Amino acid sequence: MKILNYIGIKKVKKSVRLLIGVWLIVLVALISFDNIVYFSNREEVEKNREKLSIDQIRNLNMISTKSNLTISEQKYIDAGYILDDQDTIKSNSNDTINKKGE
Amino acid sequence: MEFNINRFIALLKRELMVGSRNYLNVIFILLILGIKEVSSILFSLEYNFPLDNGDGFSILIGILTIAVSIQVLRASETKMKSNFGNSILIPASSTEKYLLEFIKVFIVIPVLYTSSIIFLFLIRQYLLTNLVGELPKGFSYLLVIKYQLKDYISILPLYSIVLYFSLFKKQMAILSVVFIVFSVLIFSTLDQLIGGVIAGKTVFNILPYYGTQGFNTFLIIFEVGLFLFFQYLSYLRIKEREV
Repeated sequence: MKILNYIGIKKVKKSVRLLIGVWLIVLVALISFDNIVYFSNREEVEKNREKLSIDQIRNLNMISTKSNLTISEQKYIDAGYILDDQDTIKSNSNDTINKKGE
Repeated sequence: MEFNINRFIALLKRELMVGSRNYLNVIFILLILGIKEVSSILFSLEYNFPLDNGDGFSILIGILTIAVSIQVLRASETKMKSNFGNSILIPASSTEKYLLEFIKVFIVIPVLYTSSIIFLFLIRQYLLTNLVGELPKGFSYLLVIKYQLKDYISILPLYSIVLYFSLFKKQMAILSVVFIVFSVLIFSTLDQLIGGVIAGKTVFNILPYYGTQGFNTFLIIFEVGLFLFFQYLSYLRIKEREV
């Protein structure tokens, strides 16, 4: 916690000092881990991304501004959504989705 | 770490006597906020839609609900300085006070929330059937409890952050939500910025192992650590208030 004293956080209580210290350590650790892992095996990461479910893709899209993940129709169907002919967002391919029961 | 069971029971009794009006307010607020949960459960059953349980947005809504209810629970403490002084001067050790906060936040509020949702469903089933029709097929009260339990477990580590922030003198439970959101935003922005600098173009490098077995194990360890760390911080905070 001596580092915090140099920044000027000296008079604050122990609990706040601990919070700031651990927050900084976790932030730096997560960011460096992410970048090291991503740049060391990029292809494997891209493969992992293809297997993600709808909720996981949504979560990643929510926290990032530069996400390139899109949800395909097949993933909607796998997750249990029933897609209708009239109300579905069509993907680039010309696949049509049958109504339930057909 | 002093603990006396008789003193603790007396503390619980005092809490009920002093804060009974706050608990009624919390029940009222949870009944209003519970309407969203009821409608989403009904919607998912009606249209065979998987319930968005445990994803980012529902977690955010969950923390906001908890932050608001904790804030209301502390209304009498934060509104008047004398009440705050009294709560510090109660003849009880900081372990007992911490346990009281733990029970209030981690047991009473979720139980009140779940029971208010069940109450809303009972109203829907017995009073509104003639107006809006019967409940959809596949509905059971066990299902509601299961959904709530799932939400509760996914939210637990963030819940402890809200508890810690709410222990400050001013109204800071709502601020904890801002802290959580900003932490995530700062992490994602810095991560992408550094990734962009290394690669020379924009890359999507956030949480590379997200969704794999190893990541899930790491996440569980991280969340348990976060929960325990903030419990310790809350205990420290209660101890510091008395100094």
